[in-house]
Amino acid sequence: MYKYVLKRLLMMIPIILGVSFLIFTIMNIIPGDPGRATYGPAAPQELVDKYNHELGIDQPFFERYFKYIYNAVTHLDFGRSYSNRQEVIPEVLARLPGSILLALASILFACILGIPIGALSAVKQSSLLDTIPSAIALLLASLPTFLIGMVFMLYFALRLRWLPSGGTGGLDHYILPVISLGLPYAGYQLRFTRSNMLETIRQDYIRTARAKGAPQRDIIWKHAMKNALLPVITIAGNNFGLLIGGAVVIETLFQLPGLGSYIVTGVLKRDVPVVMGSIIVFTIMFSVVVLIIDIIYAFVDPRIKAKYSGRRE
Amino acid sequence: MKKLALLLALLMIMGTVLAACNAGTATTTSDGTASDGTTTVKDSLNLCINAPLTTIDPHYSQSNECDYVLYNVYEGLYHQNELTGEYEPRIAESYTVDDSGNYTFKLREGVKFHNGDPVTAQDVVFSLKRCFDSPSYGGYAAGIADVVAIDESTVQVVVKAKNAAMMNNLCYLMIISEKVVTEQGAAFGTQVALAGTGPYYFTSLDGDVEWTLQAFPDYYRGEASIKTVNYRCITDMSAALIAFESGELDWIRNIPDINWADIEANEDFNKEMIPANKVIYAACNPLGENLGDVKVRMAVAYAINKQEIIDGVLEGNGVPADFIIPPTMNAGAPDTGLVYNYDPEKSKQLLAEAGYADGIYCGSILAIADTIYEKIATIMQQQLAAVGITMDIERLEYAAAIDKLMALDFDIGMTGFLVTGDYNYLRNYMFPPAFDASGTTTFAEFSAMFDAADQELDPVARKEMNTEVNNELMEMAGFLPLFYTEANFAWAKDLEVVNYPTFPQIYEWHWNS
Repeated sequence: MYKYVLKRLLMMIPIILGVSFLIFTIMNIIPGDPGRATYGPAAPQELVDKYNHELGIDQPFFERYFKYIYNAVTHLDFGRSYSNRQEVIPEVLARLPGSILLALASILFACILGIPIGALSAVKQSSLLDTIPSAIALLLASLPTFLIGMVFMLYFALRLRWLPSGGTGGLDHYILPVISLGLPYAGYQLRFTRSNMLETIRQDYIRTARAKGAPQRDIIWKHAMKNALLPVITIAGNNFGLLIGGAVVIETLFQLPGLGSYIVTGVLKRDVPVVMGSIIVFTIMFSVVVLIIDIIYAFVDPRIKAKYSGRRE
Repeated sequence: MKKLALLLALLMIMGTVLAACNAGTATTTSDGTASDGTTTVKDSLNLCINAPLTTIDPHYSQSNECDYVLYNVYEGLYHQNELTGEYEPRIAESYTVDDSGNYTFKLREGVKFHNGDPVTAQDVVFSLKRCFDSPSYGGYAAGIADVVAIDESTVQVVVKAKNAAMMNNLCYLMIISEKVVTEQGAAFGTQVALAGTGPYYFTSLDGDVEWTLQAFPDYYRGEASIKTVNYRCITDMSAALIAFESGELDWIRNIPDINWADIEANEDFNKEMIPANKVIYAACNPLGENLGDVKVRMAVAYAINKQEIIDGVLEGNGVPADFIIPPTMNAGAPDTGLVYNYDPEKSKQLLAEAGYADGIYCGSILAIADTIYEKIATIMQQQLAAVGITMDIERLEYAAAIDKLMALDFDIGMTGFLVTGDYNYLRNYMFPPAFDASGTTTFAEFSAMFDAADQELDPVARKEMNTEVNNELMEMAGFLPLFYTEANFAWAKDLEVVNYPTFPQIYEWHWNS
């Protein structure tokens, strides 16, 4: 098991290098330069050129890339933002807890809402307890998070004045963003749980358990759920990883300074260090999250643990 | 199953603990009610801007949104009142202009920086020279040859040539403390700094989220009535409007036109709409596809129904523009001369004269995606099609669109700019290759006319000369003004404000309490 974990950690190195090269190439290919993107069309061209020169934009592509990687590896220096000349990594690390909180809370909310209802829906297949939740789940999964967020903001912040419309502060500032981001994922989780439960309860061992006279409650919650939930938890974990950097719409709408909005702003301003540093951190985070999910999977499923350990149980 | 439930519970607890760690302290709303229920005096204000405050260095400000904040913290030698056009003394109390066009400023006594240091002539020299290399303000300083401290309280601005726009330009070059800037070095602009002389200074700064200004007690015009200004960054205007309507903000601007009718009908707050100093125009590129012929460009001009665009894009909240620079708000701007009014028959006639009676394809209309420019382009495409000019629409995100515009790699480009009080601002948008390809004038000829007008210090004579400049520009049919926007505002019922088209002056506001 330890060898497997070590191997996965070592595999992150070529992945990060590959991602960094890809992002660096894309940022240099797309039209626009940081000077003009930052200061707009009215800025005198010679001063924009001078600014770009100070940033090193006119140096050869590979020279800039290898210099970046060298500084990152040897000094943990991921450069300074072209926009405000601040070091990138402290800014990324400052934003990371907020993004993790938002992602974690949203996925937890989605699981707490979606998984039990999805299981119930599968057990009560074809009844109203199946049809109605499935329809609602489909609706939730189809609605854009922006629309959900706006509606909640209009109702709970403006109409009822129960919650703030955005910004940072106490726990109450996160309620609307978490629900807005979590509801579509609750829809996915509900549908996915239902699908897995339906497949699981049709397995032979479930039929055997029934034949042996096991109570229905034990069959569902003790035998079927445990097996059905494994892929559901895996998906939830992957979604959590993606949401760390992918909640830019909700971050913008509710004015939360997260990693997603930082990356998007960096792209729009052609701020290469911001984009590179953010995506490298995101890649590391996502890889670690997926590894943790796989480890959890191994502990929950003895078959997988045996496979990682290289022996049969 | 139990293990899973335990794991989920542990994660929930962790999430709650993380959230609790982020919990802030009780805040005071601007109506004087603290979030924990106690009442305080109403002397603070909650505002927002629609972009992050990327720097508080006034010489390297990156957006007008940043300037909305910074112009309450920093000042220039003079300030141009946007409503009257008058130059009001600030750090300087008077000035003279010699025969060569050089300006000599007498600094006001008793003006202090926020750190308590007096403003000296050396600070002024330092500040103005610092702007020479600034991409943001280098254009404003371009006409300055040198800045000399005559004595501790007298500064001379030596100009490269007589320049009627110099006073206007100087109003945007803020004076900062050489000592503070030198001490902070590269960090200046990224952290709280007491380097300004304005009525407010920064007490906290998290440029992506929120920052606070406090009234400067030693401000030479007297301490501001509103003591604390709390800013938030809200990039989405719909979210900003909700924040305002729910009482989290006390004043708001740039309300989406689609929401303006509802705001107007709402009696719960004050509102106002005034002309903005902003023009939206179509840049008709003589280097573009089939646009090298001036008759084709003029045909484009006559085919545009400006009012229809205003009604379709801005819900009617705009003013059709006859001139590229709004004449009522900018010194030296002409208000007579060649104008293109909507005349589709004339457009067709010009196309026929150019040999395109059966129609013509003129490439693409370049527009920045997800902005009003895209909507304008859609309407204009239909208007042009009605006279036989076929065009596609090319949507690009901001940086890519600006890149193409600057490279003159477009056919018709939708764009606009905020003007800052003088016709001279138009210089920022002159592209020599376009003039040279126009067939009506060359850049050298046009520049000579513009330079001569700029060197004319008599306002009446300058305006006449700029009328000729403008006619030359309109004959080229490269800049097709569409409309001037309007600035809208809404604010709390018991807040007294004076709204300016561009830069709010919070010093002049107060609560009625």
